[in-house]
Amino acid sequence: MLKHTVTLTNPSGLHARPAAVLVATAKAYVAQITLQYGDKTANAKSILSVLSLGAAQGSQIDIVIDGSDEVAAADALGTIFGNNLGED
Amino acid sequence: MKLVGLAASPGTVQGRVLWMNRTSKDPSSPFETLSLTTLRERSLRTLEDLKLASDSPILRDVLQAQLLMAEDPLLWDAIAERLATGIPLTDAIRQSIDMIAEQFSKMDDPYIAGRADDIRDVGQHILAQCESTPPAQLWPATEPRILVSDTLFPSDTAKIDLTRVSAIVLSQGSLTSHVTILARSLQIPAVIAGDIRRWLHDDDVITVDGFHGIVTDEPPRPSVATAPPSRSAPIVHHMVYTKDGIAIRVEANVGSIKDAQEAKFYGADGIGLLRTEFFFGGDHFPSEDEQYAMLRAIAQEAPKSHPITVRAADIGGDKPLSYMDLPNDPNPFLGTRALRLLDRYPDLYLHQLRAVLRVSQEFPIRLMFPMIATIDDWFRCEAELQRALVSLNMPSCPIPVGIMVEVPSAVFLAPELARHAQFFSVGTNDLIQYLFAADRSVSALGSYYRPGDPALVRALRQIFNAATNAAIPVGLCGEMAGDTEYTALLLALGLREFSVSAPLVPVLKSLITTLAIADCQISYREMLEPHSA
Repeated sequence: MLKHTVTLTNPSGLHARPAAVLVATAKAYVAQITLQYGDKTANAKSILSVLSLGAAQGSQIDIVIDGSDEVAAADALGTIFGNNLGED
Repeated sequence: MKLVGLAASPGTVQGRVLWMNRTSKDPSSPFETLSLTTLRERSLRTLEDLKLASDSPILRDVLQAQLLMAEDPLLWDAIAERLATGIPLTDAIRQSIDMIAEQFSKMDDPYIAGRADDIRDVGQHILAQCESTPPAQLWPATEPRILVSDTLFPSDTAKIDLTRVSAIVLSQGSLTSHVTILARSLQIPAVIAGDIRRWLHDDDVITVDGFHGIVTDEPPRPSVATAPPSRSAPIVHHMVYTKDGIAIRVEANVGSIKDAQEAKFYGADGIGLLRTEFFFGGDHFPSEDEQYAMLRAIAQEAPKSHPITVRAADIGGDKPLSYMDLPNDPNPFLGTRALRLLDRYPDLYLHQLRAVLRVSQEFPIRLMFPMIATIDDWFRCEAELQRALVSLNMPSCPIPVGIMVEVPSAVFLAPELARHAQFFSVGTNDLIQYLFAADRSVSALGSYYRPGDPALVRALRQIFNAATNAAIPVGLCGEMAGDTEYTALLLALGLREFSVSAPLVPVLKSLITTLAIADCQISYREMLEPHSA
């Protein structure tokens, strides 16, 4: 099991389009990927779940990745967060 | 009939109503029995088809997000769980959608809360796949019509011919819903106006005024700003600069709390004109505390940290008030209005000025007096202000006080008035009406409303020169300010503070960034210098 903490740097936080980028990436892996924001948790493969976090720009999010391809998944998620989830 | 609602997308259009045909299905109509897997696949495939068929990039993004929702395990687990209790499939879908949408609509972030509409839209889409008969055509227009509906979802707009939609009137929605964003991008005027089912019927001829959020059965008012903006513009929440680097304020004209919310939403750099007449809309003369509360409510909704230019009440004239005995003048526009009522109601301004001064302790405010026709008019208003200051134990006036230049005599007195006032705001609507002796309410005289006329340009020139010599700022808050045909002319004249109806703010900001004032001055040299004309 891997755990990473990221800070949302993209302007709109986890709004529909950046959330869609995150969900599409997460779905490519078999590992369970869970986001923790404050006292809320979300399944990173469910857009409804990710949106309901209501995480704005500047939010700190813990990502817990658990499964056979967790290392590859962590790499991929690290890349998309580094790219501001596709936002300028 | 006149409905007032949210100005969701600018433009004014007259046309015939056609309601959207979303009659809830006959409950006895047959539904297919199909497995959840089949239903899921069919829903995703048809949604994907809608996305691929859409011309609008905004709509494609929305439908992409809806596709992810439509395949979300959270949704299908919820449906399966309910189905297991033995209820019909369609009920299981409705209940699951309602539950998730309800959770979203309670979120603090208004953007996320707005996604409840997307979830309901996805629900409608999935339910439609359960039906064995193809649905009736949603909006069977064969020519341009005004689309009227209680709600309009993004996937609906993918199913109708948007080129035939001349305007949109909805009873539900918000400035941030996808449909209003889409309407703005397609330059379709739109108004969200509450209780419309009572008033609007198929084939009614109505006017949709997306600048002011008005739906009426009267023909469009003659006005310069009726053409839809030449292009859609992004909303920006900062001041913009011309190509040669001059900062221009684009502020909003506001006459209600709803307008103040729109001003903030559309990125206005302040409120350039607060019409306080709506304070007087009740059944009694508003007390100082009532006016204070209304003004404070506006200031709280308005764009923060930007000044609000409050215009002292311009009541009287053509707007009768039940609780006031106003003179029945034969020509109200030339009659007893604004400060001219002080003889009859000596405390008309006192309460309002005290309210303004009190609110100014908390929020940035400027004050201006309308209908100033003589120097004595100004002294009279200044004396009222002094009374208010003394009564509040204020040794000096804490806010800038200016003049709304709208009576032609004030144009000729501008050099003297500029020595007393701390700013000018030009009210071109009344100025044109008085300058050309053309009553604004007479639609047959609409041809006099040509702000490019040399007489008006010369008047504006005199006002700007007087202000420049006295080193005071000038704003312009008439319809002319929002008419993109005159933006370059106004920049050339020296205008740096535009105030327009809120939906026009992004349009104007976007245009200003493409103009260089030096070029504007060259293009308009002849109009600016009447001697050479």
